[in-house]
Parts: sequence; C-alpha cells; structure tokens
Amino acid sequence: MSLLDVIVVGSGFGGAVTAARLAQRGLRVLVLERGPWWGPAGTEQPRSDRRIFPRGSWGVRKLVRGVRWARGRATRDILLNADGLVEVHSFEHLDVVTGSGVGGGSLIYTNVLEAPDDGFFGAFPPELSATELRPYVDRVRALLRPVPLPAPLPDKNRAFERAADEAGLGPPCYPELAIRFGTSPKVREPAPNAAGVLQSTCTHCGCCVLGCPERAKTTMDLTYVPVALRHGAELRPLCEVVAIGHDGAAYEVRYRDHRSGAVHQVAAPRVVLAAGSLNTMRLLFQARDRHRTLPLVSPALGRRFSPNADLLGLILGTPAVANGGEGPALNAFVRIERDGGLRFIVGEVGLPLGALPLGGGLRRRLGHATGLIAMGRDASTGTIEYDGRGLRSTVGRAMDPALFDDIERTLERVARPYRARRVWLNAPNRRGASRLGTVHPLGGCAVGRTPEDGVVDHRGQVFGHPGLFVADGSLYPRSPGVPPSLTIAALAERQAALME
Amino acid sequence: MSTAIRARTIPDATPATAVDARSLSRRSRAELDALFASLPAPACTQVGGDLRGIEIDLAGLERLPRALRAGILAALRGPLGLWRGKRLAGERGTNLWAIGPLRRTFAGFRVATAPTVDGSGPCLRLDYDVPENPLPLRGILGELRTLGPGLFLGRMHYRAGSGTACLLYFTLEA
Repeated sequence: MSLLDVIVVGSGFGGAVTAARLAQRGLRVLVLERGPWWGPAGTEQPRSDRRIFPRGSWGVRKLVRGVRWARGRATRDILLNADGLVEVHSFEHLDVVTGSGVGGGSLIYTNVLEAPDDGFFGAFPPELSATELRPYVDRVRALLRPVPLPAPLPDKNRAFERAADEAGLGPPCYPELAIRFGTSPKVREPAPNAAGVLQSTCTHCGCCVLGCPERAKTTMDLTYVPVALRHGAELRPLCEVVAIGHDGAAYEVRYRDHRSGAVHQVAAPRVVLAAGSLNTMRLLFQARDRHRTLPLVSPALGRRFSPNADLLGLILGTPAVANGGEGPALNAFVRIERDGGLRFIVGEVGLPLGALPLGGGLRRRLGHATGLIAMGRDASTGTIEYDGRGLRSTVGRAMDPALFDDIERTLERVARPYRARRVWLNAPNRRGASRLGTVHPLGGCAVGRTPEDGVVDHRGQVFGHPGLFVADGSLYPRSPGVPPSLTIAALAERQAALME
Repeated sequence: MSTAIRARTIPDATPATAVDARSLSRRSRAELDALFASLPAPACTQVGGDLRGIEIDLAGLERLPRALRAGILAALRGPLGLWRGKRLAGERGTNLWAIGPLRRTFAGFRVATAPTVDGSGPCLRLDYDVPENPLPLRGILGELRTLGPGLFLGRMHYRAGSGTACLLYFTLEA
C-alpha cells in the first residue's frame, strides 16, 4: 500500500501551487517533473538535477527539448534533449511552444499576472465566480508579490506609449509583474522573497522569456516549490510521467527517470495532473483510449481548446527603439474592447537579445527591433484529438477569423508609428496565414457542470474518477484574452483548499 | 529561516518499482515468477491494439554469466530481435514481426481469461492451438498479467505431453 497521499504531475502554475498547499496541510506529496532545475534556482540541487539556462552558441543546443509533430499524415515525437527548456508542438495550423523544468511555464512566461474581467467567469459552473475566486487570487499575489514596472521606464516603453497614442488606442496600462525590482536596474539588491528564498532584483536584461539569469523573476521554483519542499514534499526532477491508471485501490503513475533511463511506478489515492494543457490531455487520452485504464474520462476531452488568440508581430529596423532587448519582456499593453467587453490586448514584447547567441553586428541591428504581442478572447471551439500515437488538431485562424483579422489590423496600426523598415505580422508565419503560433494552449479538460460539457467539475476533479484532478491551463472553458497564469494559480489554490 | 532551496525525500514512502525492460531483465527467473504471481489479471477489454513487446528473460540463459545474459537480451531487444510485439483484438490476436522495413504478422492465438499453468490464479491466456498455426506452434501457451497502466508482463510456456516448460518472459506496452 502506498504511503503517498498525492502525486502531482508537473510543477508549473498549477502543480507547484497544489503541491505547496497540500504539503502545508500535512499530506505526503510527491511531485514528478519532467525537466531539470534551471538556472540560479537550482544552485543548491545535486549536479545531476540542475542545468544552466541555454545561453551562447554551445548552450543553445539545450533550448529545445523536443518536437511533437502532427501534420499531414505524420505523427512523430522527437526528443532532442530530455533536459531542454522548451517543447514545440506542431499541429496542422498551429505551433505551440511550452516550457519544461521545475517551475514549468513560469520559467519562460512574461511575468504578467493579470486577472480576467468578471465576464470571463460566465463560462464556468455557478459554483465558481470572480468573487468566489478573489481570495485565492489574493493568496497567489501574497506569495508572488507582483508590482507594476517602476520608473525609470526603458526607452521601448516610451516608444510603445507613443505608438498606442498615435494609433488612437489611448495610454497603455502597466500590469502587475512577478518580478522583484530594486531601486535601480543598475544595482542588485538581494533579499528573501515571500517564500523565504533569496531573490535578487531586475537588471532589465530582457531575458525573461528564456529564463531569468538574475533570480529576479518570481517563478514557481523560487516560491511555491520551496514552500512545498519545506513542508515535506518530495520533487523528482527529470522524471516524465508516461502513463496513469487505477488498480482498484489507488492511482498508479508510471514515469521515466531521464537521469538513469529507468521506468518506475508509484501509486497514491490522489493524482493531480498539472503537466501543461497538451501533456495533461495526452495522458488522459492515452489512459482512456490506448491503455484503457481510465475508461470513464468524459467524451468532452479535447474540446473547447483555444490558443488564447496569441499573435506576434515583429517590428524590424525601427528608429524609435535603440535597445529593444532592454527591460522586462512584456510590461505594458492596451485593452481593445468590442461590444462592451474585452476582445483582445496588444502589448509590446522585447526580444531576449541578451540570451541569444548573436554576433555583435546582428545584435546591434536587432537592437532596433521589438515585438508586439496580442492575446484575445477567441471562440474557444477548437478540438484536440488523439490518433492512438499522439495529439492532433486542426485549430488555426479558421476558428475565429474575424478576431485574428481584427488583431492584425490593430497591430498594423500600432506598428505604423514605429516607422520600421519591415513589420512582420503573425510571425513566424505570414499575415493572413491560416497557421498560427501560441505560447498559451488552453482548454481541452474544461471545467463543466456535467461530463457532457466538461472533463472536470468546479474543483478540478475528473468526472467519473474520484481522486484524479487537473490543475493547469487545460481547465479553461474559454480563453481569457489575457495572460492566463494568475488564474491557473488561483484555481489551483482553490482546488487544494477544497480537496478532501 | 534558511533562504536556500533544499531537496527532500519522503523517507518511508513506498519505493518506486522499476518496470523498464532493462531493470526487469536483471531479475532472476525465480524473481520474475514471484512478480508474475503477485500481479492481477487484466480483463480482455483492457488489452487491445498493437502492443510493443520486449523479451526480458529466455530459458537457458539463467546459467550464463550475468553480463553475457544481459548482452544477449539487449541484442534481442535491439537489432537482432525480429519480434515486435502482439496485436490483440477481442478474443483473437497475432504476433508482429519485422525484418528491416518488412513487417508481417504470424502466429495467431485465442485470448481468454483462464487460470495460469502454475495455479497462481487467473490470467489472460493466449492459446496458440488454433488451426491456422503450423503444428509445432500449437503447443505454445501464453499468459499475461497487468504490470501497470497499459503495461503487461507475459510469459510463454510450451506444452509437451502432460508437462509444460516456461520458455520466456516478456513485457507488452500499449
């Protein structure tokens, strides 16, 4: 009989929060994380468990963990480095980039903690509302201590303010960022954070989306994960879950330990899947359709998938920006409303020039480049399917063409005042293309009232399988149109509080 | 309060069971027998489709030095192995073979829940005594039990006269 109470799969915004809160309640928690400890957060970990962020022409080989290719008739899982930082999923009309490592998506996100407006919660069951979730949002804020970007603002912000104004979109708002700022970006001022872990302060290096080398970004591996460990949880890095099932008494979890190559099994009465939307969905699809171990998983699995209407525009060769890589990657955005509600946001996102292996000339030229990123409230009617080997999807622009056209027109308006040599909309694809890219795959294990319209109930528990929970972005029944991290973490806080 | 991040282990939690082919092939025949006896039988409906097979023990190898035995089994799992696994569909099944790019099925069997040969309880029995098989194959009797989610431990017996001999152990993975 297992002496574990809970196995948590993944250590990102959902897994780390759940692990910490359940460990604080005295439960025996085992966290299985497929990636290593990254960067300064791993300093105290064994050498086999930690990696430095992929930097430089040699280090960049560790940037990509692997590619899951599902286009045309081909389905391929290509594992390049089990200890790579990002994973690429390439579907028919959609490319998805996700993070891998202790801290999950928090390692590569843009630090923005933004709550969706109240209208977003109309898609949730009645037990879950903006008001009901607010105390859990406050708990996340209390540990991550987000603040807006303080003055002095980088030059790129002034350029974005001017561009938004000239485009008639009004002044941008400065959202709360999960970053420790000091009195000046030129001085490092280390101090313990709310989790009691030593953090430094932001130097405006702009490397946020490829891992913060300064320990200034308040990621999960510096906050919730240490809280979990301090309360007795065990975290096994580089351990990738490959199958789940139920043996009648407990949930069995099989995982591959990439350090030794061995495959192990552990069991516990509760399992929390927080492996990221696509990986959580794949585990559930496999369990239901291939391994046939969780046959009652809802037929709604894979439905209500959304790329959060992410769309990237690159502004190349602009005199308005002298150092596009300076400052927190995304720290300001404008809200575009249609019919009285949020339709999408447009923010300025700097390129992580300091983290890329670029020659001096190219680096100088790209200094005059920056990015615009949009996220929107799309139709969220996408579907992820399972072909017996991997996930497949046809989600792309066709899911909500009017929204993506609107976003591109708006990005073009915002880009015009930059007087750039080239504006590349829908990068790395082309303007108007059916193919999109996203870093926010959401939905697929949507919260629902019944198994007919959702995979999990309002507590995140999988319908038909008591003790099995989902705690990541796959819970979203629709796209929020803003960065989803804060809500994922708040939902995990609520889930841990309600878990019996 | 310490500002460092210290890794911990849960001291008395059940140790993780190693179930990969390399770890299982390090076990002796007696240990594999004991493991098989401790496992539950899968239902017919739980096993289906193409299952990847890996040999983990072969009769006659137990007297060889451990390193040589491991080497032979590794070779059978790798380039020398022609057997790729099994395909199960309801009450029928067959074996999957490959020589380079050439793939084919050969050696069919009937699938049913039945007691094991050694009387250790029910298992999923793979009976090769079917008319389409060549006569020598009809003496083969397979047994499957659940090792984990989508993972099965199996063994092959050969019936000769009134006795049976266990020829090999293998795993099947969905």
